[in-house]
Amino acid sequence: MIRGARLLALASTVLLAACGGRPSEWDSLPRNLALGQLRDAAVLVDSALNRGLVVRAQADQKLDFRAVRLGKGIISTTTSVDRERTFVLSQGDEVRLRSTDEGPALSVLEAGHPDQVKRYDLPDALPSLALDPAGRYAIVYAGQSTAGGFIKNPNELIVVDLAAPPSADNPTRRSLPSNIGGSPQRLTFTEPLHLPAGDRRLLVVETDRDVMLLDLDHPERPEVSLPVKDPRTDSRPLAPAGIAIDPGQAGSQGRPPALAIRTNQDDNVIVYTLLPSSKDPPENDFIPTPNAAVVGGVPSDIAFVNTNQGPRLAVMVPAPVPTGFLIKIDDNQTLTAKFSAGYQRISPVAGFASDSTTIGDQVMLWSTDGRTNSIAFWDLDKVPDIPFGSIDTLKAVETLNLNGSVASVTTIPERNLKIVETTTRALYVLDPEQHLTSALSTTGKVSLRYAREGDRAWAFVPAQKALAQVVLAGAHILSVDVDRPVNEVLEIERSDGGRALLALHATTGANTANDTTSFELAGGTLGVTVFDALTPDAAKSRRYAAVMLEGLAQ
Amino acid sequence: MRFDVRFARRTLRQLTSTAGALLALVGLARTAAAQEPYAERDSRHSFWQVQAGVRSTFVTDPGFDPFSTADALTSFSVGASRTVFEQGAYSLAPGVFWDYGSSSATARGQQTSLSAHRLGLALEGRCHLAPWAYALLRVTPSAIHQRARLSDPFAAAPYVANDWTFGIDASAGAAFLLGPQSPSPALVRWWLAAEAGYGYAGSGSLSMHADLPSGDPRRTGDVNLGSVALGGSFVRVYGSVTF
Repeated sequence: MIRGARLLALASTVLLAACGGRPSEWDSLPRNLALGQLRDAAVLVDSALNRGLVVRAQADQKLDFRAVRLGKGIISTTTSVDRERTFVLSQGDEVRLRSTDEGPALSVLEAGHPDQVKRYDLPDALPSLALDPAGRYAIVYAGQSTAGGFIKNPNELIVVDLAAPPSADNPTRRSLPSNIGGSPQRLTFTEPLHLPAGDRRLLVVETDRDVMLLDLDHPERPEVSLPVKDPRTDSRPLAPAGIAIDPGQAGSQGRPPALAIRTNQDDNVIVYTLLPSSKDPPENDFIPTPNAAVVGGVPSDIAFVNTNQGPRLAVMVPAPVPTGFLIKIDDNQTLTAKFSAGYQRISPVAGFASDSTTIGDQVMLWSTDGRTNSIAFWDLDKVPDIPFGSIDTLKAVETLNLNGSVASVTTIPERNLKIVETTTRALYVLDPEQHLTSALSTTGKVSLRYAREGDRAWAFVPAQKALAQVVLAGAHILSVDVDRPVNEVLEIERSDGGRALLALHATTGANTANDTTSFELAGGTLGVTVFDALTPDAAKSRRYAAVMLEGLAQ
Repeated sequence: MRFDVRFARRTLRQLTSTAGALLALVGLARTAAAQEPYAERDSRHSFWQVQAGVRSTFVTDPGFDPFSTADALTSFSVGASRTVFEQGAYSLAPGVFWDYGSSSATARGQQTSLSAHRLGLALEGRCHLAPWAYALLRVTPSAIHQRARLSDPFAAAPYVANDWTFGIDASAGAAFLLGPQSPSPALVRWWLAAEAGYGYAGSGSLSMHADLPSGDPRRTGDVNLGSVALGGSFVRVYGSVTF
């Protein structure tokens, strides 16, 4: 019997040994999901597991899932405007006690091969990211976010050269001087400027006190500070509120590049013209020369525009009298246009072409102040050839009355379209070049997502079973049957060249941010219905469920 | 290792046929044994045995993680065997066993379950240490049918994955006679036994598809949880009746 008792004890020990555990990933609930929308893949950033789930579409509405490792402590997810790259910023382990613990990093997923993640280790955990529209640089900086390390240098810029692989020299860090106490708030990458020593791109850093210029191609050259006031005579706490850039004209006789700055309080617009400098490298080959244009009120928007009289700086001043100014920056010749409404914003329909001198733009004027129930198109091809004076707005401005004040304006650059949403839930598809307007009425808060080609949009009411395709040319509506509430949609290229529409379903938690960067998963699960985006037929759709379990068994 | 369903079914048929043949052999052996003077045989060594118990397998395969928080697959186990050979303190008893076990859990909040049937043919060697106890060694090839299930609010229907695979167990243990202790051959005796060992099992697919009724027009994509092999060290405790 003693032997039997020992055997039973052994059996009990084995039984106890069987009570093991499982990896914690199976118990982690994906509460929040950030989305990256690449041209050919959706990236579901699963911050609970420090991973990305790359979703690619195939023919017949089939999906392929691939999990990739991202950094720990994900702060933000951003996709470039051209949808070629998704950037995931992570701050690493909070406390790094071992050599294997992770530091801050920028993970980059690229269209074409999104499952091959480039990881750039960062020297500091900074929370803000500025992306070069040309795709060459990404800059990590402190910005206005409170996330990141407990102590950080607000004037530090971490420059990542995306064209080069990660190395000891990439990224590089650069600290801006802060002799007047400012810190970077917004970063803008210019297009190539026709600078004296050749075309180059600059980085424009708006701090809360001044503006700085950095030569991206010559990081050894010093930054150039552009003050927005004279600190000896002006005690107002002026801060830059917006900039406009004229790249200038090529050639030695061409117009030099210029940078216009408006501030939060001043009724001047400060224009810096970048003229040749006689200094030798490593000094900069340009020198900014300031000029101030008085516009009689605090500007709400500025932009360089083309008129039939040549390039001008357009300035919108909504108060005390709603006025638009066209300023010739080399001699301050100024034309004014009195508007019937207090338009705040100006948007060139086709963008600013610095080499065009004889054909005027169409610009759209609008306001989101809640008091203006109209938008206007200002024809800049009818600017009189006079040095100073008024523009006849009856001839040059066409007003479109709306069913409510403007809530948002979205530009579709691929088609030169403007999508205007009003506070009364009306949608207008505007084709300013063709002078066509299509009005759509909605019964609820409609979110719109746009195809990369710009020829169609997807409308849905968050957390409801409502989905429709909008063909933007003509605003034709095609309702799409869906039997689950839709919380977000995104369109990607399929492997066979077609297009797939992914309608995402979550238990609750609509994407209230009206963007495609974050997504709440209150129920911890995600479903996806896949449609052919070119012929969205529910009968040919395919449903995927429990998507957040994909990739865990790899 | 993975087999298709047709192969697994064929294997199961073969195992069943073999089991039938072995049982027939056992019957013949018993007939032959009955011709011997029963006084020369100890009915506590040579007997029919019917058993029922519990088996707990320590499944280390990561594929089991979505279905269990403790790596343990507990099964209800029944079996029958017959002593066909006896010499001195040693005997040999083939038998048939059926285990059924299931496990359920949540995987990132989704309800999951996995069940498994295991039908095995055992060859058990015994060493009768005393009239009231014997040690055993057992080898049990088996066919395994596993069914995984996953529920999700966005699924058109619950997701399931069915697969056949095979396994083989090797175990050692001991059985103790609870009573009656009398050597009388006509008695029904009660035993308590325990064994431990290791079971190898092939991998079964966890590519799960929505369990839609036939004719349902909805089209779904699979949920791929990889595969699972339900092998591992195990312990089995059972009671048995011999006669």
